[in-house]
Amino acid sequence: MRIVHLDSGENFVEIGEQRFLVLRAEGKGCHTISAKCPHRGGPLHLGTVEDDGHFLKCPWHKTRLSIPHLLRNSLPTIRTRGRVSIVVTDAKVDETPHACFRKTLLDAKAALAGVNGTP
Amino acid sequence: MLTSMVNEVMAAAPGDGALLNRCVQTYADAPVFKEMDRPWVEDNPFLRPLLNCDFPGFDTTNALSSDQLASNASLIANRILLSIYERDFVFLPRHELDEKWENFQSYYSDDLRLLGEIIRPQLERYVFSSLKEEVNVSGSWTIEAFEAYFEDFRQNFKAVENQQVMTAITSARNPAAAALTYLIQLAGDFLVESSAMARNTVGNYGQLQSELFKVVIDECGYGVHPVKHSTLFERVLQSRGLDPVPHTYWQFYLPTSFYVNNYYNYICRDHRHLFRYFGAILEVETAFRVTCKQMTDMMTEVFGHNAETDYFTEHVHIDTHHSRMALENLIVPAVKTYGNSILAYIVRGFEEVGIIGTIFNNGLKKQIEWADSFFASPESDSPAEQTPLRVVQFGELDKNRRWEGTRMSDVDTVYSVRSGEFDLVAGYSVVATFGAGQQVRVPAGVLFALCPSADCIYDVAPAEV
Repeated sequence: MRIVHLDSGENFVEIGEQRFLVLRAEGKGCHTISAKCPHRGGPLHLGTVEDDGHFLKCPWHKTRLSIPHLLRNSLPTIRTRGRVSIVVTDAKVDETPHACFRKTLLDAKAALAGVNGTP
Repeated sequence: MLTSMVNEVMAAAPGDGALLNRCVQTYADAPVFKEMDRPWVEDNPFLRPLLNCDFPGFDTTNALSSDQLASNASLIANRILLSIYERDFVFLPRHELDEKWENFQSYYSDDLRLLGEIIRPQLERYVFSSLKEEVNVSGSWTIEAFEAYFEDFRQNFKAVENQQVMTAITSARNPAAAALTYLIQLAGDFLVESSAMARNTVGNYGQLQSELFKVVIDECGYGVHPVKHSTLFERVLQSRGLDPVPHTYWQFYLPTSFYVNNYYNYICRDHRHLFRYFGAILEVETAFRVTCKQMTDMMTEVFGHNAETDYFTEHVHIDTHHSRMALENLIVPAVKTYGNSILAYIVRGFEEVGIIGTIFNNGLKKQIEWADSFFASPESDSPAEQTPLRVVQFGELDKNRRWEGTRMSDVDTVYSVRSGEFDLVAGYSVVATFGAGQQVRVPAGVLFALCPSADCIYDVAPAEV
């Protein structure tokens, strides 16, 4: 298990062979989901949002994934003021995380449009 | 007046903002909240002075944003909130009750209690709404994930912000005055230590209740008064010539200091926030062992090796245990019993304590640095810089001057003396005197009071950028 702390604005994490995208939108919380499509491992961070934020379409095979369902399996994440901390539950201790900002990442605001705020 | 207001509220529609504002005004009109003609409250824990002039226009409809917590509106709301919360606690003066009997009865009266309960939820929304926005918890939390997160915090926590305050004190032009300002801010909480958390020790919720009670027992010194934590802090105050009676320095507490105190009452009084409190106690007990070490070092550096530091060294020791007890005996069993869903609330409480600590430290650092600026720089021979200040002992304010009460400066403001003199009180024992033709700039976000002479006329204007 590894704890990854992101600086303000960072929205993408690589640790070992795993990739995660961090979705933040005002009033919708902050969520970390795997960037790997459960179908064939396609890059979800390059996907497109459909149906007002209810589905995410993988760019490889056009698989439509329910965003609320993806969020149910999201990583434990805390946003406190500008800082985001993520618990990467199945990371190895010797794997060094790399966080960055990716401009090409899918639109977090659109992706979370259909999501209720978190407690 | 109070009774008729209570009756009016009972008949009104819920959520009537204008009516609630009038309730706040009526509440503040009670004799125990009357303005005082002096800067301290002398052995009377029932008196919680407010400034009458603050209330016209005071509106609790729109909640304070996080950058408004060091404002005068925040000071007003937080003063009232603490007076409401602390009516659940028992206070008695150290001596002589007969002449304070009316205050005693009034502070705990049914009318004030009822009206306080009516305005409390509105004030809580007003003060704490911004905190909800500051923290967001998501994802599939498990106890293993939480323990990993906590361990990362425990190993890396360096109390950087607290250390910045300690450095502001030790590197001040007048470290002793800065340290007294600091101790006074702690007094509001530490002299009633563990009272807020003790709200969670009554009822019946199984083994968890008894585990929390063990922590409270430590705080209370196992019934041995000399080692009760609040008694240890009384000794710290007495060692520096300060009064150990709770809230003697009520008028000197910063809104950001009230805020911390009120937060614990807020989450402990409303038992829906019990799990939030479990997270909060874990963070504070873990952090406090580090911050208390820094406080010990600061006290020793400022006051010498004989400085009274038992309060702080006790916490360096016992909070190592309390941190472990909070995790192993409260949080882990609670999650095992009630499931992972409570972890979102535990994490929220844990994170909120970090935020309120930041708010406390920022407010205090600003006040200390501003107050210290009135002391002459050791490197400077500038007479202008040295002229205004006189350091007074507690209770030695000029009796011929009118105490106008403490308030927060909301914008950078210039006070210019046309005739006579005024004392500008920038903190305990930090009093600068300004005469005709002189002016002083009071920055936004600091607590101050003016004491004008009988013949003083002064102008107030926003400072030019």
